[in-house]
Amino acid sequence: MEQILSTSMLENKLALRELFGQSVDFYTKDVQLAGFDCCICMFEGLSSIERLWIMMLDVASHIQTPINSPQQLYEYLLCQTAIPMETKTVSCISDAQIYLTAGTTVFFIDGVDRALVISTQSMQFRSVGEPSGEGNLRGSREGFIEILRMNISLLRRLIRTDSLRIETMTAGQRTQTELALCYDQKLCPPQLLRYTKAQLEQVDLPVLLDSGYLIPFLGRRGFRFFSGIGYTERPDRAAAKICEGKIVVLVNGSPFALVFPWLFYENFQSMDDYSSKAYFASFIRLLKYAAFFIAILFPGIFVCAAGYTPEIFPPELLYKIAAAEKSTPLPLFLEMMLANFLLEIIREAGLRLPKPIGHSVSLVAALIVGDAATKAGLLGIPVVIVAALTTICTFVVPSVYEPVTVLRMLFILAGGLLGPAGMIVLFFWMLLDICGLNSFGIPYTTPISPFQSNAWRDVLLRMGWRTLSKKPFSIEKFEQERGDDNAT
Amino acid sequence: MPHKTLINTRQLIIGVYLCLVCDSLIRPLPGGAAIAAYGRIFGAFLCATVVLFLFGFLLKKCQTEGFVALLAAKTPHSKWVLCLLSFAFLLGAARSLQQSEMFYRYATGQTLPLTLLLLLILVVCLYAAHTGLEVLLRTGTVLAILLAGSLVLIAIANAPQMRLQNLQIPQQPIESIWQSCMTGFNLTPELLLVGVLGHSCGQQKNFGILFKILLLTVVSDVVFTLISELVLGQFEALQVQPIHTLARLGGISVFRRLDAVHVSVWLLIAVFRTALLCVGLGEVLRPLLPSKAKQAAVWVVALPIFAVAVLLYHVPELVQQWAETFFVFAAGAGIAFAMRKEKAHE
Amino acid sequence: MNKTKVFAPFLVFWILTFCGCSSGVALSQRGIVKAVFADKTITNYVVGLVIVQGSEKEAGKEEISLQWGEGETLAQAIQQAEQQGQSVVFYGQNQLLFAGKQASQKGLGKVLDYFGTEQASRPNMAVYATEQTPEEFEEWTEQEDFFQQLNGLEKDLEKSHKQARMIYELNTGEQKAEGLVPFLEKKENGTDTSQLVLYDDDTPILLLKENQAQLARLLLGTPVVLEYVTQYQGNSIGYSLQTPRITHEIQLENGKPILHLTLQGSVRGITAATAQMQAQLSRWESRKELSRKFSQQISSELQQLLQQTWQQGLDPFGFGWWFGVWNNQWYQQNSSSGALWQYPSVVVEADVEVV
Repeated sequence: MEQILSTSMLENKLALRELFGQSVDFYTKDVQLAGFDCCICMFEGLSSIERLWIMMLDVASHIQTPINSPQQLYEYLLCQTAIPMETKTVSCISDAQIYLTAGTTVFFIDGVDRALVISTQSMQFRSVGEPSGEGNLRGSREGFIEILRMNISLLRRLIRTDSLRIETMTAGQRTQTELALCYDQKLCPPQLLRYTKAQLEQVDLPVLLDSGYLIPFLGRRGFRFFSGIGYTERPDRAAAKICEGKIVVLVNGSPFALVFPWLFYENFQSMDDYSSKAYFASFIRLLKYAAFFIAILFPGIFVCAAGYTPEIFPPELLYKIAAAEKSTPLPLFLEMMLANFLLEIIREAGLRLPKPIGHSVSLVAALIVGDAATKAGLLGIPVVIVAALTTICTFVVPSVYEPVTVLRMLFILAGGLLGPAGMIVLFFWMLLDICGLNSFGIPYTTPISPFQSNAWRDVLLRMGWRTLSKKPFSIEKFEQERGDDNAT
Repeated sequence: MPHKTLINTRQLIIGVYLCLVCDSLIRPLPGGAAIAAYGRIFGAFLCATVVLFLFGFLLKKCQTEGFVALLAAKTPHSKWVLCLLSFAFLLGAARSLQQSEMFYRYATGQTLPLTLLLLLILVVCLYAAHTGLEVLLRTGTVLAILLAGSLVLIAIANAPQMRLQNLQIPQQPIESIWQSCMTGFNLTPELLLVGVLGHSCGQQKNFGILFKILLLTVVSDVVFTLISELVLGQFEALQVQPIHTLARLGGISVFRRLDAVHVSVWLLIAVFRTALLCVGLGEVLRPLLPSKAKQAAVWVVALPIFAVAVLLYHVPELVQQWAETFFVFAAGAGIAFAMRKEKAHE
Repeated sequence: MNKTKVFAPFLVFWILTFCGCSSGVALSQRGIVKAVFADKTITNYVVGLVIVQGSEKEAGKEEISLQWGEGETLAQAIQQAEQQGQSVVFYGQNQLLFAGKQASQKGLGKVLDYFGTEQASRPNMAVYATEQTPEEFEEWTEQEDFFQQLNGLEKDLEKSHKQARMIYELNTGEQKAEGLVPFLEKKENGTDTSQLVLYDDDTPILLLKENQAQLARLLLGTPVVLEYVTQYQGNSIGYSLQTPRITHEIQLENGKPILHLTLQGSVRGITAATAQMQAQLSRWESRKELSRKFSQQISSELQQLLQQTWQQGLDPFGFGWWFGVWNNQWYQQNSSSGALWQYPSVVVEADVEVV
């Protein structure tokens, strides 16, 4: 049962002290204003004491009307001053807790059973800068940061129409993390919105520290390599998705916004595509598709071809590969597994190490894997080249890095152990996995399969803006076209 | 969010077309492709017309409510009709599995244990059937794109080798066409799929769907036959699988032998065909199973398919072909008879 | 994710790894067959497999070895040859088939039939008739530049105007060699494959050289380049005919069909011995005269080829097909009775233009 605030300021203060324990950053100060006892409560580091004092002194020096009771003081401060306050006041301890942890100051007046919330947030946070991933040559250099309100403001700046809606809720029992649901009221399908809200209300997490924690609760149960929920660090991309009728979820503390429904082809889109010329954007798009398949299949095909169908290689290449294999101790497929494994270790090490040491990792990796291992005959040069090329191709489409890496290993195993049969069966299974995924009711591989004519507009290629602007994409129209196709 | 299952007509056409064209790609021709191209082309048109005639009337009945009730085992004749359909699909799936394994061994020369290969293909097919028809047909669209790529590559790679003088001049056309029809005609369970699954595919009539499928198949056959005779000439008569020979001939630049790529694509289609037949088998078997086993209908058929596939290794190809034709014809006739009885009863 | 779903893939992986299911052969264990030599003795077949493997002594270099086998049938001979070495023989890269002296003279048809139907061999293997005995072939393989020579032959296969003919073009399934087979002549500084041997009923009857061989290839449909030398105003001039093409047309003359073959093409680049001559050649009147002269020269070469083939009752170029297309019944009757050769049923002419 919620503990309601009492009229005694001391009781309320002690209740909060008991709630937060002896936390050294929980600051309380008894003050007098217009002759009445008051108490300010805040968390140091989240709130600014200086700002508060300036506001209080300003108020104290400008009280003109006589204040005869605590209630009058309360009304005066709430309605007649220019102090920046939240519109809602606090009536219970749990509300006080929420506002205090949001960085505001809670102001108690002795004799009043409600408290005022003053906006004195002064948290230290990262400034809006270039996002760590999703780099662009042209276009915006802004990225989301960890503060939810800042992220919301970044979106609001880009979508200035009246139909943008932002609703907040909390999740995470122990962290009570705030999250925001952003959508366009005119474009977002109502059933999608209803479903999302229902799912978010049922989220049962002890902690919510990143937007990624929500993905299993929003999507379907069961294992899938790919995900029907995407993410972005860029406000312009999130805004573009909202304008397509999609939903964007922002989580406080995470610079990654979730976007859904998310379809397969969206992994290959970037904001640069829409700033550059259509022919070049189409070329890069096709390059990305090719890189994706190279990243997954190339090592497996190489291993399978070398062990089972070497006739596929041109003669000169075949002799070189045979000579390289002869000089190394391991079978080719184990070599390939080892090389890929090493590259993953190097990548992970480079990611986790502190920056001063991080540079050494690349040097050591290049020397050990690239040079010493090949010279010592532990790894063959063709294997190292294939592994390196594959890794570079993986980085071309970073949003599918995880499934690509695991699938690559599986294909190497399948190709090495079972040959063409293994590759064929695994490829079929992978296709089934991709085609079997539905993202919030929409087939993940649409519009490639089931094929729709707009696959040429902005999926496999990118048409010019004159074409794209004639029929702007939206989820509802998309679903309508799909229904029309099935009716014929 | 609940997904509304929508079976796209175009996808069903592509799916069944892939099953039929798979036959041209991987089925061995015992005695070689001895009949000249003109005989095979006219034979193909003739056979397709006969099939359209035989199945056209039948498939019109499959869009009625009576057929839906028949499939749901709600009519007195349902059980034996569904049994006949089950036999047809069981034989089709087993035969497809066996053909896939035999073609794999023939094309790649690999010596993977027979049981392992059959099990591997069967498991993935059953998993595909378990994911549902819609997912499988979506996969079929992707495979159709791969097949188109493979065939275009074969055509381009072999184009410089095409000689007009390789085309055989009709010596005894009527006899040649008749011989082609006799050796090449067969009814496959994929044709029944149009009836079994077509009623859930929108407004287009089954007859229209079947016509498009047969047209695509015949056109593909004509193109395959022409290209293989233009390139191989008399050598074609010695080939058990002329299209595979074309794949072995064609090369691009320094890549002189790309048949492993083509074989992989064709085997994917063969696996797809087996999976689609497993779906069909699951659909017709489900009403016959007790309620507890209905959910696992697809997995229940695993052992029978495997057993029949192993058995088929001891049965000659021609006998298999005619047995399959018989069961498909019997199933079709059974449906027609049952529908007629229901109509008379009404 | 329950335990079964997590552990099942690992279990499958270990089972597959340890049950020996992997049937792949490491590349280092494969003996890559580069070429096959097949010959006959009085009773047996002799087969030599040219195997390429990476050199153990020198990285990046290839080692050639020759494995011989002998047997009553080709299959037995090949099997014996395969067993001579340690490695697993691999035919996927084999594009060259050499028929030895005895096999080229009698029995080439059986060799073509075997390799044409054998699954392991490639249908686009290039076939060469040679005059080499097994001992001479072995000597050839011991030359330092043998590998380069074989590579040169393989490079020829990638060209559009290749000199080679493939096994699928020659194998008719009747165990008899018919038609034109390239002849490989071993020379001091390499090999020459420009010549063609005309086979009829498994017996070589004619050897075509130089431009005759090229014209024969052109009639078979292969793009060629023709190079000629002729006399003009007392001087020797050379010219080459790039991308010539032949048109076929049946015309009825006096109630009888006649196949007209017309060779058309452009001559670009005529070379003369002296600069003065070169300047004269570029004049328009000279070009007209040269066009007529060149056409006559090529026509006479074509006529000679026709005399040696069609007029002897042989049809390696498929002329009969055109008659068959015109009227198959007439063609069947007149070819079996021999009436087709009793009048000039095929007429050739050349119409080249100097540009």
